[in-house]
Amino acid sequence: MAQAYQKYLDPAVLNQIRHLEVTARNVVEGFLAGLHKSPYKGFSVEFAQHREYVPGDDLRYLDWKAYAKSDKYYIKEYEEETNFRAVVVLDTSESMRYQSGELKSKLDYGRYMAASLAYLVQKQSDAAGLALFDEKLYDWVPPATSQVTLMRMLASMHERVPQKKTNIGDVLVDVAQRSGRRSLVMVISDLFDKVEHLKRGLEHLAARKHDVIVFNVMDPQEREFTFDRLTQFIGLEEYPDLLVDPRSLRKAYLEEVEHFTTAVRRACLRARSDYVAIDTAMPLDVALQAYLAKRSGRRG
Amino acid sequence: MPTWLIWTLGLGIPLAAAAVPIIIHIINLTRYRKVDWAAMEFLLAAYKRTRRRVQMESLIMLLLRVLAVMLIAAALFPMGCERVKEWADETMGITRGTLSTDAPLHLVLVLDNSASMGYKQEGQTSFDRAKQFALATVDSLKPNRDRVSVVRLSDVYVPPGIGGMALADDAADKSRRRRVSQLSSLNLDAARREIAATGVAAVDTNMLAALRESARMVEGTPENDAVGLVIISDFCTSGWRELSKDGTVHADFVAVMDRMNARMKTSGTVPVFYDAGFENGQNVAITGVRVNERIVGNGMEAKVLIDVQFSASDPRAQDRNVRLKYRIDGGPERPFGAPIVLQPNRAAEPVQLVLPARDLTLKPEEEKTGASRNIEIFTEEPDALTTDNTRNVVIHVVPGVPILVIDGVPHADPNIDETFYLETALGISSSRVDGERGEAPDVRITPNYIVSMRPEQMAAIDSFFDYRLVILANVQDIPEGVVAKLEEFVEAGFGLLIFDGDKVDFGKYNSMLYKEGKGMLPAKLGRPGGSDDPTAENYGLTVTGPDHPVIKLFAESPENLTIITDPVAVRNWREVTLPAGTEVDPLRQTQTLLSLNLPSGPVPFMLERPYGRGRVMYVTTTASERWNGLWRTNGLPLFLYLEVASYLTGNEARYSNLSVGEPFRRVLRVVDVAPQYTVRDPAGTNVDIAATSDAGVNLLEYAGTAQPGVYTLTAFEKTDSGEPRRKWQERFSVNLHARESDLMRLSLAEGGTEAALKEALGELPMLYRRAGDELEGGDALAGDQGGKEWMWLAVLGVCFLLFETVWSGVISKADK
Repeated sequence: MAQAYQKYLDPAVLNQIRHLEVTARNVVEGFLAGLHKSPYKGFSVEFAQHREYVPGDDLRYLDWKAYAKSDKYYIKEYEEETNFRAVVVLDTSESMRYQSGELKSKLDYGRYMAASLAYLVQKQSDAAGLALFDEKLYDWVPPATSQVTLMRMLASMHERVPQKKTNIGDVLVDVAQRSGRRSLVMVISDLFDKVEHLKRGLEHLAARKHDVIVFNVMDPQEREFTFDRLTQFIGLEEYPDLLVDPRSLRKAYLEEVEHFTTAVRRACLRARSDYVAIDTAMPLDVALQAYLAKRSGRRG
Repeated sequence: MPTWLIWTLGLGIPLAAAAVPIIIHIINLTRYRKVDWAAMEFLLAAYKRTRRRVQMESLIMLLLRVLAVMLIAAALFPMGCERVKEWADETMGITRGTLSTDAPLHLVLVLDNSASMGYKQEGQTSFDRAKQFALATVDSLKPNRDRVSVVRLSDVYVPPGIGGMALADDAADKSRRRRVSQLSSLNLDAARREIAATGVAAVDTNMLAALRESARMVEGTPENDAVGLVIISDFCTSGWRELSKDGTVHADFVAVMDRMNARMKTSGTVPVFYDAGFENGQNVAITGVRVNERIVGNGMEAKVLIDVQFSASDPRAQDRNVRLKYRIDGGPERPFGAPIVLQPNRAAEPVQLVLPARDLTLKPEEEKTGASRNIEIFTEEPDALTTDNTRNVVIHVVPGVPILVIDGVPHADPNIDETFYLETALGISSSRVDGERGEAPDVRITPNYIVSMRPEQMAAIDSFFDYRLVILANVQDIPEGVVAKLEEFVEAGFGLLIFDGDKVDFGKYNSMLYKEGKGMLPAKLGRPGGSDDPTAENYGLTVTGPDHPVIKLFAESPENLTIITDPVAVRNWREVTLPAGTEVDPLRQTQTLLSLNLPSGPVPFMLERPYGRGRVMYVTTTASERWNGLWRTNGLPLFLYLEVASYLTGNEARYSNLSVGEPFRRVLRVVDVAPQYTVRDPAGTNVDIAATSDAGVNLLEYAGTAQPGVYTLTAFEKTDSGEPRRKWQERFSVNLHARESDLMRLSLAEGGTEAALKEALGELPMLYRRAGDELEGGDALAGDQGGKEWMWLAVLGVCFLLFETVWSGVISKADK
């Protein structure tokens, strides 16, 4: 069992993202001392490495001792240590098990994402929690900083077999209530539910002052729909089957998808949530890097 | 190929081919893959939005595939396709109509095999296409039950007539009926044989006559039998213009079609017009060749006038440059003149060829008998209708034309002698200087030589057949026996010219020569008119018959006409009464060529009457200056009497150049008679012919002039050892009707042949089909224009299938 869930902790992925900062758009209120808007002034700031000075760097971080020894300018870099609560909300409904070709299913991809994010949060001594849902929130791991909690999260993700429909609206309301204090809620889902439901859940989270990032995970085939011969589509989540020549429907289908994603983006915008479109062909690190870089750029 | 196999190919293959896409479609419906699909909500919404359009596109695509495959199959199996069309036509009532299949069908097949059907394009003539359709039509009938009557245009063709005179209508109809009936009510095998054996005949199109014969057959079909009519032609205006809406016999055409339609209505059938012609025909043709001189004397020049035309049914046709050549009696080719630029469908000026005297000089062995020369005129490059690229004209070169002049007032003084001036004019000859003086050979102007006699010597003449023309000049009277000989002479085709004068006993002339309109004299003579006073007023001449061959030369231009009208020199004349009432003989109508312009009105001056195969001309004044001063004017008598003599002696040459089908005739003089005569036709076939005697005249007749070209008549005598030896030989030419060269098609400005036919027929029902609408022959790739269209459609079908395959397999992305 232990080996089974550890597969989600891909060392290559973690190596790629370990130096990136996970910061909240608004500073999360923390238990720990030194949780301020300027985390680098706290006692828990930990030196990480030197690097050569380049014009534009803040002179406050110039290491004068190193200059005296080497007659070269070095900047001291620190590992950020910010205390905040992060909850990863992972969709495990039946629609998440779709996969095309050799790619991972959306659920597997979501599990990797969730594990990576949780590990990253905990590595910064912050609390990470997990919520698993389909038509309801059926597993809740409260945010904590302990390694045991991480193991529990991974185990929970692995055990669930996707079978049921999505009901994201009620689930997000539930998460908002369970999270208590202000947290960073990261939703990983294909969002195949009514947009109104999503909108209601996001508005509820926003009302509770939570920061929300919505990762809309889809398979490339769901976005591009490149089937080329007669196909019977077997509906997941209790939808009926359909035998059709996909070429004749492609244009209309893509319009429907575009219409859906636009509506989801708009709902996120109204709830002051971030929206990130992810497809399962993208490397995990690319997806996370893209997002975190964007967040980092907006800091300050 | 057996019929069952043709049917199998014709129907089975296209239908099987058409089924292929449908079968593939059905198989594909059972061969789909299954995919678990999460984004079903979007897919269902898209499907709901586009379902109708997708279903319609799918259906159209399926139909296009079926069509493409059928086109390919149809192109690869043209015979089968043709059979299917026939089958479809049959069900529409072309041949059988609504009759039960047990009713015997009498199919009347009108087959145009006139000369224009020989037009060839892409290796196939119009007649090839016509035969293919005719045979296919016969094949569609049921053996041992149905029968076919074939009416060929060559069978209804009646040549212009015998001796240049048209046959009476009933005689022509009788002639047609006899020929057409040979191919009536044939069983299918016999019909096939006859159609297969039929070729293009060099005849003129007389479609109305063919339809009349067809109507007779249609109406003669037993009441319980069905009857059908199929007319196959190229619909060139040469044969159809007169039947069209504005044509001269349009009413007759509608009437005869109406008659047939009334009978066919009971069978539930309608006439079928099958158009075997080509749409864009272009044809350069020599449509006429004529010789200025009617008889050419030994060593005379001759001028040949050639009519060339360029007909094109294609409005985009460009001008054509044509070069003509000629050869004499099969000798070397000689080009002449500059290339002629012919504009499409525009009349061109005749081309003149001057044959030098050396070409028309008799060889020593011919000097007694004379000889004929065949001048073959042809275009340098033959075109699609080759039969009219060549035309022949035969010129008779004679050692001399003997003319007998009976001098009514012989006298040593030329001014008193009745015929001195006339004889001088008719026998005139001259030497022409072409190069340096004296080096050029003498060129004769006339071939005539004159034999002059006193009236009393006439009684001693046994026969006038040694002469070609007899002239009576102021002869008092003619002995009765001589009159009979003269009548025989003229009837045989020779000429008689009578000048009046003060010696003439007009009472005897009336009784012996006029005979109350039944004799040779063109008019009844009266008393002399005018005044005997030399100072009395003179009168001039006026032209009454401008189209007469003699007068035509003068009437061609106003300048020439003054040669006749300027002289005011006639003092005396004979008053005449033209035949009227019962005296009028419809076969011997008197024609007035020239009149005296009197203040009281014109009175006849020169008259003509045909008599038998010859002609008689009568002049109401004297040949000498006794009653007139014509010889002292502008040379009128010289030109006029030379023309008259040439005209009256030209009978012999009348049969030298014939139209197709026109029988050849030749009067045999005593010196021409031989024990054996043979005619060799253009194909080289020799036919012996026998001389016949018609009212004492020995005649040679030959009716086998079916093909254009040169025919040779040879008279053989026997040597002492009994071996045949050529006594004399002459040629005659047979030429195609000029109008068959005109390939303009029957059509309206706003429509094609079908529209023109429909307009001509008005309310009458009809079906029109065009060659090229179906593939013909066994080789689809070597078909005509129509075949090419089929091939293009087939190529289109292949392209469509290829495109669809590439589109679905390569261009649109494959799912992964």
